[in-house]
Amino acid sequence: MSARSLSVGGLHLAAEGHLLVQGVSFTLRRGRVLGLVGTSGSGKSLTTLALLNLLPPGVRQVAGMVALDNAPVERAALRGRTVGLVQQAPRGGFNPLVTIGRHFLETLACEGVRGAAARDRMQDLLRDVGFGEPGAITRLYPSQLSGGMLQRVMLALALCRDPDFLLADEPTTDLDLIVQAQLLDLLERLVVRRGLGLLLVTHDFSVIARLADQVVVMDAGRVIEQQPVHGIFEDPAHPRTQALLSAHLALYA
Amino acid sequence: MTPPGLSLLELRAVSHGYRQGGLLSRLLARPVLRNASVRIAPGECVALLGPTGSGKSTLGRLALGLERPWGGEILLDGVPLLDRRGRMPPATRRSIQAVFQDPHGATSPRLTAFQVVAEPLHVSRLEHTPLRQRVAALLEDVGLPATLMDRLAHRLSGGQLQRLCIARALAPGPRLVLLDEAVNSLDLENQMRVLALLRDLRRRNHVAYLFITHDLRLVRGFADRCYVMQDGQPIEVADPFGTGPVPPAMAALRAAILPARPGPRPLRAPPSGQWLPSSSPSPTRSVLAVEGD
Repeated sequence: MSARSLSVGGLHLAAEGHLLVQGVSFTLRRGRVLGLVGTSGSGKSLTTLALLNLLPPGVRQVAGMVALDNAPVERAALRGRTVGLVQQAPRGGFNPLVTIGRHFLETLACEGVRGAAARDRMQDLLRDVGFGEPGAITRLYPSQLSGGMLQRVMLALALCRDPDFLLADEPTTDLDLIVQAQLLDLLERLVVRRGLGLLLVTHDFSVIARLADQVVVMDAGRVIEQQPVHGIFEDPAHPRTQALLSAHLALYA
Repeated sequence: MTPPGLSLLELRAVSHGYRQGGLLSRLLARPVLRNASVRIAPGECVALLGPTGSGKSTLGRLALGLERPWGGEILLDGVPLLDRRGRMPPATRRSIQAVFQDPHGATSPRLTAFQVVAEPLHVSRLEHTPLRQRVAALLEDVGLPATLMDRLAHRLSGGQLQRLCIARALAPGPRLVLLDEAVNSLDLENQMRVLALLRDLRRRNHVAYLFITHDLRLVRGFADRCYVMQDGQPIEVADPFGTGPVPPAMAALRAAILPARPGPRPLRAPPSGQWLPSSSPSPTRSVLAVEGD
């Protein structure tokens, strides 16, 4: 029985005596897209990492809890199978010494998928994230791929284990608009067809406009506003949200 | 459309590409640019649009003289950029500078903000105090307080660090600055601020830009002319936002622009309700008051 919701409550993160994230709470539901939006440095990425207990050294969680279907869980156990993660800077997530194909085969082996079945699955996943000729990619090493390509490979790897929830931290920021549109289409298909619960972390309101159902706005480590997506665009309440939105709309003037 | 008169930088029928393959596999030559021609007049801002892998950054690298093209000519003020042995005169090197997408990758984590900007000024052999004054003036130009000068560059925020990179690019007094996705890694507000800054600096310093981007939205009101990469060739588009015919590559870039506002979400209704919470309360609007410390 797969989980229906993943929630974080009262999350406080601190480093060197400073509170970096204060009292962040939200709930991620399957089949829905929760947009987490804010400027750089607002604590979006730390919040995302805290969900899987992957905080960088020096950052401590001082309060808060993570719950799956309202029951507290051991967060490390969520990784991979229940919750997939796509990070912003993808290069660090790869082993530079092995090919892209090895990354897939290892991950798929965790699911017991091996041999020809694993290769087929790998090809399908790579095709899904926009690689027309997956065979050519699997032979390459991470250093031979551009940042945008690695980002897409990372997404395909996160989807290998068919997770219930996906935490996507700026999944399309380094991509060009054409690949971004493809990738958001793919994420939407996963949400609609498979009921993936998606946390979409971004600073880009156009990505929010495209995909999110519910939006959490963060600023300086706090949640300043939480609304359904149409409300955020039509009637933003907090002055910071209004400022971010007007910067976004200026691009379309 | 190309302005008359002498161009600052001109690429004539340039072709270039890369060899691809692993250590033990066959090397395959993959052409990236075919017969590419671009002209940039002094003080002009030329946008070069295209998706990833279309060769726009390769064109930028050639314009910087970082690579020699397989064929064709690259001229600065009508003189070849590189001599026969692939060398570039120091004055030419100073007159073409660049700002890249990732400011963290473009600066050393060991250097202070002062050292980052002072590095290209070492050839001017300034004494310590005038050098600091010059750096402070450059920082002020890009809207950074001089008090940041002795901080480690990587302690600055992404937006501040990108401004620092712009200050470094302007330090040698260039005539052309290559902006290779220079605002794409910044958040929206910083994108707007840095674009406004670049517009302002261009007016004050009479510097030309080659603005490489995949985001058509950023070009509006920023670039004088616009090229789009189509099959390894930059094609000039007279009116990228007009209703007239545009090359297919431009049409694709236009179509990829995401909506400004959310549309309806008809597909998001649960097909069977199986994986949705049975009694999902309608999400109500909640504005959380800022709590006291």
